Amino acid sequence: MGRAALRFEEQLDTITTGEVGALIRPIEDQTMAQTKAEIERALSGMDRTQFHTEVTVDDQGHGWAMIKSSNLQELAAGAAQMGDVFLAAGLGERVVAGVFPFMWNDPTAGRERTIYWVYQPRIRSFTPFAPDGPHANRERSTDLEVRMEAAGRSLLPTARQTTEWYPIWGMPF
Amino acid sequence: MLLLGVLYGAFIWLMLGFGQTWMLGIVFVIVFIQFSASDKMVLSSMRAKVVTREQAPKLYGLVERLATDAGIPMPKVAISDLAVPNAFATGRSQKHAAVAVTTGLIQILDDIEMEAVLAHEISHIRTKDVVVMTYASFFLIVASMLSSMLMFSAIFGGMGRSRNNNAGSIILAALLVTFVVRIAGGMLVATLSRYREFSADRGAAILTGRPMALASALQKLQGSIPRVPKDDLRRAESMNAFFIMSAVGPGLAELFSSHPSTEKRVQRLKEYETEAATLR
Repeated sequence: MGRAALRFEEQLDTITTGEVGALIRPIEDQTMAQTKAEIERALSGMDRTQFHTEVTVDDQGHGWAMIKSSNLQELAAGAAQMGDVFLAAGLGERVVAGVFPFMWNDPTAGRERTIYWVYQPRIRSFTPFAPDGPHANRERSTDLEVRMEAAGRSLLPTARQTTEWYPIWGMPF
Repeated sequence: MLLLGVLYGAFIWLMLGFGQTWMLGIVFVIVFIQFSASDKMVLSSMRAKVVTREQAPKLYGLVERLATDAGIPMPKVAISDLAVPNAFATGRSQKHAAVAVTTGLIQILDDIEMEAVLAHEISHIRTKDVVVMTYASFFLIVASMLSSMLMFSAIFGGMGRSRNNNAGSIILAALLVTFVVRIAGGMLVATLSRYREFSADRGAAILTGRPMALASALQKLQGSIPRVPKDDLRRAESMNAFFIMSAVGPGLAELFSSHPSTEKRVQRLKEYETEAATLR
């Protein structure tokens, strides 16, 4: 993803927001605090001198492990490391998605908007997600997503079936 | 194109050879009148009215800019009051061209998609596709008119006892020729038109620099905007946990899709987009 992100920046005028996130499914009867503590425990196995990590739990009880770094290379390295520690901690099966937000300057709307590449381990593919306006409105630009997929295909393993392009509303970034 | 020319050339030569010159003459006169008024005829048959810059400033401006970019004279702009979303270009030459859109199209497309569709039509005019297609179908009309005239002359000529013993067989042979011309010509025109569509799509992609805008417009026209799941991934994931296979399987939609041509066009447009992205 790191190399792909670099090429995205070069070719598509998109800039990473300096964050990546992993979405983790809770196990049954787990409280939000327990989910958070479990993820934090797993992350403690990471070398955190290079980047800042943050753990939150969303209103659906899902955990978010986030890495922040203004350096793209570090961000990519951090995402890879995070994947490793989750596997080691036995959380691998519960990673629902890896989310890579990008800023994109929409020339038609004349404004910056956040678009997302979502990695879904279940299908081992990236899917595009381009919310249109605030997440609370639950509106997305499918035509922009179609363009994202067409552009990203040569850089990433993308899912061509639009029926796999699930939205993730209310992300912490 | 060459094939079409050869076919029609042979057809005219044969008809002259059969001594049906007078018939050919009449048909040409009738069709010439039709041809010189073809743009007006097409527009009126589609209930399209030519609009001025004042009546439709946005549409007019778009066409004007695209025509300038494509280096063709400003075509007439027309709006057809039909709910069915569609667009077309017509005219016997670049100078006598018209671009028309339906009100249905104006309603469903956004500005960028409209620009892409207009660019597609402008490409048809620029590459003289409209002229070629008008000519191509023009000869087909000639052939079909001739064969019906021959049919009549065979029936009535036969009843009136022919002066010439050979007349019957000549007319039969001529009928056969026009029949072959109509079948072969029809197939050629169809092939030509398919090829021209792809080339106009490419022309539009180059003109606007946005291949996917046209793809998105085509998908809207087909009424099959890509189906994306409504459910949040978190919910879908918990559903999927109960199934061994993905809850929403691919393939079914593709199996029952009835418009492969739009899919092919969109596929090509996606390739142009990828090409453009690699070049950028």
